[in-house]
Amino acid sequence: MIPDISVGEFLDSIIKNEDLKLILLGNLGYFHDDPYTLSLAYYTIAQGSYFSNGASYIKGGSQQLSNHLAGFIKRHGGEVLLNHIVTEKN
Amino acid sequence: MKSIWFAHYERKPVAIYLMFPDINQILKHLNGKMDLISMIKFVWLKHQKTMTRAKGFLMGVIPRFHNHGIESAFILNVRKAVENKPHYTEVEFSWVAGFNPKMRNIFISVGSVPVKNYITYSRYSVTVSHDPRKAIETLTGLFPDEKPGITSYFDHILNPK
Repeated sequence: MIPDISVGEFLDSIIKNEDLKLILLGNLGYFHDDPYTLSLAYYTIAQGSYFSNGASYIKGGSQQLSNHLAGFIKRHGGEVLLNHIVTEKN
Repeated sequence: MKSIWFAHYERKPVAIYLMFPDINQILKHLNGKMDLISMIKFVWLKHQKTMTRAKGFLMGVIPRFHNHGIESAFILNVRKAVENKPHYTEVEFSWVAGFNPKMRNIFISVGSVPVKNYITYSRYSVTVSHDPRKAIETLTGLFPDEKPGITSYFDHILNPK
């Protein structure tokens, strides 16, 4: 079980050198901006994927991901609404 | 004004000094344009001796010839060149790095006055491979005292329990 602590707390517990901490957090900007409020579990999944499989990108740009999600919703009978505030969920 | 000086020893170049008039003093009046009117304005401003500053961009002396007075000879030449063009009121050696005290001292010793200080920040430039083994090797090489922490970090990231 990944401990329920932040990335910052985790690094503080195993590493003393502040420069090394910054190097290890080189990818932090992709996930968050504050290591002390970023869950170690979330960081572990994202960073672990990077170390295991390398970096990837979506062919055609990130809009393709939104298009795919919208298409999936529509194919299953859902409706995609833009510029709406969510006030309730079922 | 002469812009480039070379110093030779036994017919081989051993040092170079490069200086240009500060053309920005004219360009700032052209509002970023270089059409016909701007070109005419450029020539007119040049004749009006709008450029009053020269910029020393580069001084390089082969290490074996350091401390032989070549740098001072260049600067004396600069002084002579400027004296022949009295509308030049200033020579700026702005490309002397703050972390190069030797060059700073040479310029100060001939009467230059530091008026602008640009601070250079530098930090590690480390490429950490996404191959964990290479990453661990790179990081432990840089931070040998932190080897247990680095190992623990990668163990945790790659094998979350």
